[in-house]
Amino acid sequence: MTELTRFTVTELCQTLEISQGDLYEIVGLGVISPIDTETVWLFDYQALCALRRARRLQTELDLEWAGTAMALTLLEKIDRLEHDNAQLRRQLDRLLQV
Amino acid sequence: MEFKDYYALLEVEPTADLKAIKTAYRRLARKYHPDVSDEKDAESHFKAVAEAYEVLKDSERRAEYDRIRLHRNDPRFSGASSGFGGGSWQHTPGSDAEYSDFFESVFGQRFHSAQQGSTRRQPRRGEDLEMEVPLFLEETLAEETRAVSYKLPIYDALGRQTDVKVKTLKVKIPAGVVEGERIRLKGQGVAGTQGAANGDLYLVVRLAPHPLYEVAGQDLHIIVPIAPWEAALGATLQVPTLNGKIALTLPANSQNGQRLRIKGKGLANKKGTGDLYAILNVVMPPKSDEKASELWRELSRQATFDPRAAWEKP
Repeated sequence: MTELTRFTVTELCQTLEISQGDLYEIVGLGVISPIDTETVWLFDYQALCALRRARRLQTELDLEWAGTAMALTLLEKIDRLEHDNAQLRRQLDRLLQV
Repeated sequence: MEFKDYYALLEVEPTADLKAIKTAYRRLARKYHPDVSDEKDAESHFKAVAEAYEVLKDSERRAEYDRIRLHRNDPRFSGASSGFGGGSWQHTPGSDAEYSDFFESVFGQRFHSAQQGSTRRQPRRGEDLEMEVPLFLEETLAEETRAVSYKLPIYDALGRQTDVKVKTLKVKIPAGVVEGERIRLKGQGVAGTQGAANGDLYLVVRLAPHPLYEVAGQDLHIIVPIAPWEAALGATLQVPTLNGKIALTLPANSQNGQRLRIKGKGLANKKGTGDLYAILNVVMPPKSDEKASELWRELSRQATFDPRAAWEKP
């Protein structure tokens, strides 16, 4: 039932209702990357999720793609920092509890 | 049905031009967008603001809204639309937008028809759904079978949500999944329209914090409490791993905070097998009896070690 998923450019554009031009701009900005740039572009599900989030932010905050890319970079950085922070806090608690 | 004051929601005057409305929306969207906001009730605030903008940015909708607004205290107004309970939100697939009863009763029919006219005449693939599956670290070691229940929205031809069905699936979660990994269940999402494919259901793996281990990629970290004499003299310790205890040889003169690698005892997945790192934590006994105190005094007399020597350096 479970499987690895790959999406073509057309599938991504149809699923998220964006133009191919927009998709090329988003890839150019580094928001998502195809699995292999040498052959036909295919994207994994993480890319679809990142693109869906980008699309939502772009529409709902009324942003340009470049601004969206910046917002996503900062949000990912915050996610990573929050994750690291929670992990370090748990380790510190373990060190201090003993 | 409750009248919505869209101008008040966007904090603009009723005479505001489109540019002012757009600026106000952008400011409030940044303030309340659930992805970026720490405000309380950010999501419901954002939905209200987005709905106000949806109406006021469109000259036709705004003109109609202004007419209703002018007559909002007219007793005939409240009877104009009926059959709504108030407070509930409708969901429109694809747009991720939900609207109030006020919006639905005034603009709903034409709004959804317009949307359908522009994008929904062709067969349309159903929406993907996503849900989190919490797992204990131990449950990632072997394939795990789980029953997952989720809410599947049902939509009518106009794209309005009419019902919610609770669906339960038995799912095999492969061994070696990692935090944040997504498992695709093909065709288990929202139904497609006019013969188009169903959306998929994605399960997102969330690892529950473990009482002993921290996960760092494929490696695991464990804090190992040791006595001062074990650090000094070395010892053989029994350290718990995810599959049973293992003997760890502690060398003499081990340091607090030192990391010892136990190869191959981390997490295993398609990328390989990680290691377990034992982080040493020297712990003093809570109190010493007279005999122990005498031994410490003896050590103190003999030792030349200054733990604060670094402070003396310029």
